[in-house]
Amino acid sequence: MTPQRPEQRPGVRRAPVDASMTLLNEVMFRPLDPGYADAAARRAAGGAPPRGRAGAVGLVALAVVLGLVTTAAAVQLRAPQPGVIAARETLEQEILTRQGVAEELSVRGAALSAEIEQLQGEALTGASADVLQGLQAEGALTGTQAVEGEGVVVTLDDTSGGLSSDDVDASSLVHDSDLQRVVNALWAGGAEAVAINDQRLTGLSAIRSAGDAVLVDLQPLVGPYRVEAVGDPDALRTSLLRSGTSDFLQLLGTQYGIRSSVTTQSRIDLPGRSAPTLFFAQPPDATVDSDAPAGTTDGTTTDGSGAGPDAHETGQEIVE
Amino acid sequence: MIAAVGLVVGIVAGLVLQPTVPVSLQPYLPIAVVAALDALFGGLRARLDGLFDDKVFLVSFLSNVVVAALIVFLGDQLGVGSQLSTAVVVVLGIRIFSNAAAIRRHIFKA
Repeated sequence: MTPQRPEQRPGVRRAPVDASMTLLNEVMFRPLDPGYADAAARRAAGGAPPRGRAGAVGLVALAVVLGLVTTAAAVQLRAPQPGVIAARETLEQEILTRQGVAEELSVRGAALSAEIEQLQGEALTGASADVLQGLQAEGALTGTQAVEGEGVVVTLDDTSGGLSSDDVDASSLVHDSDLQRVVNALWAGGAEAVAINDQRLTGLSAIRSAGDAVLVDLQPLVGPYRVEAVGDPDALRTSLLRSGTSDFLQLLGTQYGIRSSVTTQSRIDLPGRSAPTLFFAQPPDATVDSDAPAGTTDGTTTDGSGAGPDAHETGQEIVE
Repeated sequence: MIAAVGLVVGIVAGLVLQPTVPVSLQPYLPIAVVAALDALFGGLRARLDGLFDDKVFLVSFLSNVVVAALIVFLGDQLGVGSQLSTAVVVVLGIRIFSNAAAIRRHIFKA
C-alpha cells in the first residue's frame, strides 16, 4: 500500500486506509463535485474540444429550465403562508357571522314563543277553567311553560378550584350517567319539572356526553352542575334516599372528589323552552284512506314520553 | 458563464410568470430546492477555485434535483419518506456548509 495522492494519478484506484469511512470522508472533506476537477484536468491537458454552438444553446436552455423550475418551487413553497392566513381569517369571520345569526334567531325564537303564549292566552280567554288548567299542566310537562315552586336543588361540582390543568383525570369529572341517575331519581320522586343548569328537561331531552363534556339536548354544559327540580321537597328527598342516589353521590365525593349537595328551596324558577318539534305519522300514499287527516291532527299532541299521566295529580303552581 | 446567465434568465422568468407546480410534485419541492442550493454553492466554490465548468455545473444541478426528488419518492413508496428526506437534508446540509466554508475562506482569506 503506497500512499499516493489521487490528484497525482487520476483514474487509478487506490485503496485508502480509511476505506470504511469513504462515505463520511466524501461528505465531510470533498464536498466539491469531482466533476469540476476532472473537467479542469481535461482542459489543462487540452484534450477537451471547444464546445460547439449547439452545445452552448443546449446548456443555456438547460440553465433557463433549471432556474425556472427552482424558482417555481421556491415560490410555491413560500406561497401557502398568506393563503393559510387568509383562509383562517375567513373562517373566523364566518364563525362570528354565524354566531351572530344564531343569536338573532334565538332571540327571534324567544319573541315568537312569547307571542304564541300571548295569543294562546287571548284565544282561551273564554274557555273554561278546566281547559286552561289542563293546558298549563301540559305546558309544564312538555317544558314549554315556565314553572316556579318549591323543590330541591342537587349540585354536583367537579371543578378543581378554578385551575384548569390539561391532565384532569376523566374519572374525577361528572359523567352523563351521574346526572341521569340524579334526574331519574327526581322524576321518580314526582318532580314536575327538572332543569340542569337552566336547561329545562322535557320528555324528549337527552343527557349525554361527548368527550369530557356533558351535553343536555346537545348543549354542552360546564360544571358545577345544578339539577333543579320543582315538586314536593320531602317526596323528592325521600326518592333520592330510597333509590340509593344519595349514597351514590357520597361515593362520588369520597372516591372521585366530586362535591355534591342536596338542598331544599322554597322557590325555584325554571325557564320554559321553545315548543318542541312536533312529530306525527303519515300513512304512505298507497294506503291513504278516509281518516288520514284525523291521524295527523291526533299526532300533533305527541310529546308524551316521560312523566305523563301522574303529573295532574301533583299540585303545581304555574307562572302565568 | 452562459450557465449563470441562463439561470438568472430562468429565475427572472419564474418570478414573472409564476408557474404553478402540479400538486403531485409538491411533496418533493423542499428537497429539490435544497439540492439546487447545494449545486449552487458547489458551482460558486468551483468558480472561486478556478475550476468552474458550465456543463459540469448544470448536469450536477439537474442530477442533484432529480436524484433528491427520486429518493424522497422512493422513500414515500416504502413508507420511510420522512426519514429519507431527513437523510438527504443532512447530507446536502453538510455539503452546503463545507462549500460555504470554502467560499468564505476564498473571500475573506480566513
